[in-house]
Amino acid sequence: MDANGFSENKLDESGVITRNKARLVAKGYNQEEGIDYSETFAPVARLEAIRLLLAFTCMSGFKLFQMDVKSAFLNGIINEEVYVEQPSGFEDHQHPNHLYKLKKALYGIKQAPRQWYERLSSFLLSNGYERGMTDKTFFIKKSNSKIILVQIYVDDIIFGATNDSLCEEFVAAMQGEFEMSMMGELSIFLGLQVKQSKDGIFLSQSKYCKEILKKFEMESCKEASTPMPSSCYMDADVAGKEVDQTKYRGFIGSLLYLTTSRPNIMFVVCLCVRFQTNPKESHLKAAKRILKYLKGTTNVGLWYPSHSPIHLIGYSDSDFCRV
Amino acid sequence: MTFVSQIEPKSIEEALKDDKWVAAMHEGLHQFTRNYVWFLVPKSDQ
Repeated sequence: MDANGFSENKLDESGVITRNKARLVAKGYNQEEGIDYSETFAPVARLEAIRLLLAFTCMSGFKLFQMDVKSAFLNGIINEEVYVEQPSGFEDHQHPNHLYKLKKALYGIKQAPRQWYERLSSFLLSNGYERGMTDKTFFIKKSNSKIILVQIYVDDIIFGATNDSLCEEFVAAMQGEFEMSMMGELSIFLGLQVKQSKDGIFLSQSKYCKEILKKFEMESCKEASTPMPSSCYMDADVAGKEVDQTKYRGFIGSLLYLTTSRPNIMFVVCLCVRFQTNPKESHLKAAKRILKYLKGTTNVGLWYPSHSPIHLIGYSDSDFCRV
Repeated sequence: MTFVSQIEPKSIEEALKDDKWVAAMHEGLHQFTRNYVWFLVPKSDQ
């Protein structure tokens, strides 16, 4: 049995309120394992997989599209008996003391993400799509020499095919099963800005980068030409002055996400990551230095030229050979 | 676009006083009906 609350948020678009959006969220933290839910795991795509998809489609020369599922979690089917109290202010006049019994998932319910993945993946599988061997959120359908690729990220879906007819067929199938919205060429996905042109694909996070600079009050900082000084030596710095760990971790987390389109900061970010448990002033200084570098290179991103040959090179740790 | 509330309510009581938010909440609940998310049962049922 669950009580519930109303959560409200507004949708802004460049600061303008365009829509009032209300969402009923169940208090899933009251759910008891074994009674109200059992399994909760749901796979999510890795950003590397998204990047690989971009590279592959670029090489193959086809275009990527995106769409999302409206209120995705409401599509997941609940197998356990879960009851929710009537939301206050919206009680049924005839039965004010009745409870709602759930057939589908609600936002906030523990099993909601899993049940949604289950519903979507079984729909795709029954429509002739094959699930990826390693990436369980990647689906592929082949017929003769035609091929369609579908990558799902919870309720966001990116897809591309060798033939337009395959894309149309996929869209029609999805629309028949779910309420879909925001269909079009892939442009913004998880905050990643994707620009597709006939010469190639450009992936950047300039908006996100600007947000980070703002968040950490580094908008008007001096620019640095490199992400770290050439004579950089970092150690635990035991004698150094301690800094706010939460803030430091916030820095690192934001920078890690930015590595999606900025592999050149990967090394120094990973260096900073190591001092998270006991961050000192010297470490924060190094993290800030990265931001100074970003200040001057906000619009830099990854460029995938069309029709460039793909050579797959695999590296592994020598441990991998151990029998 | 003109029928949008400029405030963001902090509580359900506050939201219920605002017609636009009441409409937004109704739309939210309407989604549940459209998706057959739930149905009413008497408390004694469980």
